Amino acid sequence: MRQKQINAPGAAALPSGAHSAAAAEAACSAIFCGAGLLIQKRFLLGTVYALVEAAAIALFHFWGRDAIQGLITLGHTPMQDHSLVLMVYGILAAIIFAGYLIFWICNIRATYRSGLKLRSSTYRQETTAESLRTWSHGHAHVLFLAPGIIAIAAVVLLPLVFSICLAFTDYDAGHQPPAHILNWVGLENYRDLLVLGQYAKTFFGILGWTAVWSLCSSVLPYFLGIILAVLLSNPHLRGRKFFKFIYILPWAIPGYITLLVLQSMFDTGYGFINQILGLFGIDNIRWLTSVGPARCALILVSIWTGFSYPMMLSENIIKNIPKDVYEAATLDGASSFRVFRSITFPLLMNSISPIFIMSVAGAFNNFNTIYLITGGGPLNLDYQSAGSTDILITWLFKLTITNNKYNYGAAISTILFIFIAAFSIINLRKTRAFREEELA
Amino acid sequence: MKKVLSVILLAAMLCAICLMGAGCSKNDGSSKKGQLSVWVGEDLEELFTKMAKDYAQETGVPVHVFTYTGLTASDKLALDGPFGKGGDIYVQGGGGDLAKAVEQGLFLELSKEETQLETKYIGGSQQLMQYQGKLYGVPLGIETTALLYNKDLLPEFPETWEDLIAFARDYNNFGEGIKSKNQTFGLLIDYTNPYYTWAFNEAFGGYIFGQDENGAYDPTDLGIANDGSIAACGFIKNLLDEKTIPADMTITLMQSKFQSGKAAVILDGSWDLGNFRRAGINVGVAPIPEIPLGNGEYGTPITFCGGYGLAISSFSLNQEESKKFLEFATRDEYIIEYYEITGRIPSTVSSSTNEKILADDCLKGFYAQLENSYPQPAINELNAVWDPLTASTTSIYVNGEDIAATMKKVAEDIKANIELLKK
Repeated sequence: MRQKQINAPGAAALPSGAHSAAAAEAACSAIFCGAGLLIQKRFLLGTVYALVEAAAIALFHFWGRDAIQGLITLGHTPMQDHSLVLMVYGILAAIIFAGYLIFWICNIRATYRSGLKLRSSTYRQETTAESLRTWSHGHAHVLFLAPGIIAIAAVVLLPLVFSICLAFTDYDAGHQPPAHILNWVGLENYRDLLVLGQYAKTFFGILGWTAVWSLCSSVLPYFLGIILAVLLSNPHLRGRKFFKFIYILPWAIPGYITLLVLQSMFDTGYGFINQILGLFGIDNIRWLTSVGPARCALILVSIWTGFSYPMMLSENIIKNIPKDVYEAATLDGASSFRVFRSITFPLLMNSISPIFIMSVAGAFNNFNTIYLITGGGPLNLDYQSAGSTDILITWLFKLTITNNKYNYGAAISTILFIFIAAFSIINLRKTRAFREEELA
Repeated sequence: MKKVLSVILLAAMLCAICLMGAGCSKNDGSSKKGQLSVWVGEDLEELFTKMAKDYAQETGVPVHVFTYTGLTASDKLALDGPFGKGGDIYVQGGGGDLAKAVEQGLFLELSKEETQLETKYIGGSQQLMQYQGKLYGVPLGIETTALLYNKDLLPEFPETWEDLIAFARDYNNFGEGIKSKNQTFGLLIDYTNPYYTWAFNEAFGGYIFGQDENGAYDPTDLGIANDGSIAACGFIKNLLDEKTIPADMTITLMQSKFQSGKAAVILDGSWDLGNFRRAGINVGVAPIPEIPLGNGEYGTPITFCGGYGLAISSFSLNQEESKKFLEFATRDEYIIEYYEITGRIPSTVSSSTNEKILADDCLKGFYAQLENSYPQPAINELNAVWDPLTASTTSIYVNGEDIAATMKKVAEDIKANIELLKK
């Protein structure tokens, strides 16, 4: 008999018609899950798969069809059809359908592989108990992951898809279910935000400030933290514990409280900062009510709240740099700045880069600082319900809560997601930390 | 053995959880025929339980009271109603909150004649639970802003505005700003918040949105930048320039100055009355006097009022019975007890003439102000108004820009905002 070659070394030999026979059985399984397995006389597994298929068909016929139709039409009669409820159930049905598709594909592959295994020369008929054990051992990872995946699908995936879908509807103050039926408007919301008049002007204006803010509010604290860490690791420093304690405090105190207290400190007439500046003869600076000082105040606050964590990180990394490298550098006559630039900094960046990039992405969405200190800042009349220190996320919060423009809020949040995801992916892949490089 | 034990324990726990769940669904607050379910905030539970008992005794219809925390009534009904879990009656805030709820179709429209709106309730509260001229609830308690004064510093409130200004100028001692001790303030008005100062704009003839005969608001009819409004801003700027009211103070600082006895008069809301009384201040309340318009005439300042009322859910299965309960719940004894718990001024005519209420002359002052008071126009376009208006206060009063130009720009911005909201 002609032997068909198989890639894996030492694999069993297959008779010539095995592949097509297995493919035929897989095709039977494609039509009805488990049919092919039953043909192969694997009764237990085949029956289980067939039952799942029957349940899926029943579910789809009695519930899934209506749910998906509800998702597409979003209801017809106000007060009887609640568009959001229909959307949620429709998305749930879509997710379950996607899960069923994955099951269907697995079923076909399992039938095909089982068909090949059946016809191989090393095949040995297993008892039911043995085959159960083999199956559960082989699929243990699925069994353990299944609860987690189901939980994530329900709690994370469903709301995520729901809010992305909202961005394609006209759900705002004038169209609130159940008194109104929502409509799918396609890319109109994105067009308004990115291309047409007022909202686009606001969007790009705020985007500029958000970019500046996310850079400043991550680079500057990291800068300060690294410098402090280098200073703290100086062997000649006395009272190191005391300084470490003081510098950890901004991180230890809950951020919310810090921000509220800082907001009152920046108050124009009676704030602590203006009082101190008054002693030096500097006039009352309108910290929170004019644009430039408000932005400076925000960056100062972000430095204050943000420098402790990088400082701690850097200190631990610097502690682990071997001392002989430094000795060699000093012997060669390097100044302390040169030592920092060529030894400490590259080694630090090697370890910290991923965390730093994460913090830039995080600062892009830093809601607390902006909202609690300036609330979006002195109102900018050129902007559409936004202030001069608003970042995208605080603007979308205002749009959603105050103006009830839920669709615009959802659209902005999907745009934000795309930005941050793209930024993180590109930069993380570029950093050396992701390549397995030795410390040269 | 251990394995069997743990399996049994697990089964027992699951049974317990299931039973708990099953037991809870007995009375989950949803609307059922033949009984009423009332949803209130936690602080009102006692009052409404008493009300429920009395109503059941009188009419034989059982009433169940449920409490919720965190969300507002309309948010809760928005989540529960479409799924059939909504109750019958809710304590709902008036004004903008009600507007949002009615846009979603959550509350039942009531008839003004049936609820005796015009005869049973005082003038200032009639518009509270209305939206676009239609009634959606009955008011329980209202709040508004007026002039609160310290009776120890000012035994008798001046009759006219000019007398008030003269007193304030006399009493003022600002010192050299924040570092000076012994500062005293005659009159405190938060000029950065148009919610407080809009009463003056109204006195001069400004208005936010025009109303038609049914009481519906017309968002295209903006009176923000008309001559009256501009004159009013000039009037307030005058107060600032002549140092009748202090600059650079936020409302919280003003409240603390009043609370510590350093200020004689403050323009504040009825919600702070309790706080000031608890701080030991001998508080009196007076309505804002008529404002001299400069040409010998006087204008009446009209303040904003807000408050809470009872509304019937549109998903309710007991609509007629709920209407009867609404009438029952607005009896004097309950309205007055509502005032005692929440501090919101009683809204019915009969309760306002009750001796307990009449004995409190602070309330007399608020009632006098409530005759010239109306809720903020509860339409969605109002959201487009506050932000530009607040920004204009910075431009006019802090940066000293030209009033007419700024207000015209504000009006244009608001028009543009409203156009965008229409989409």
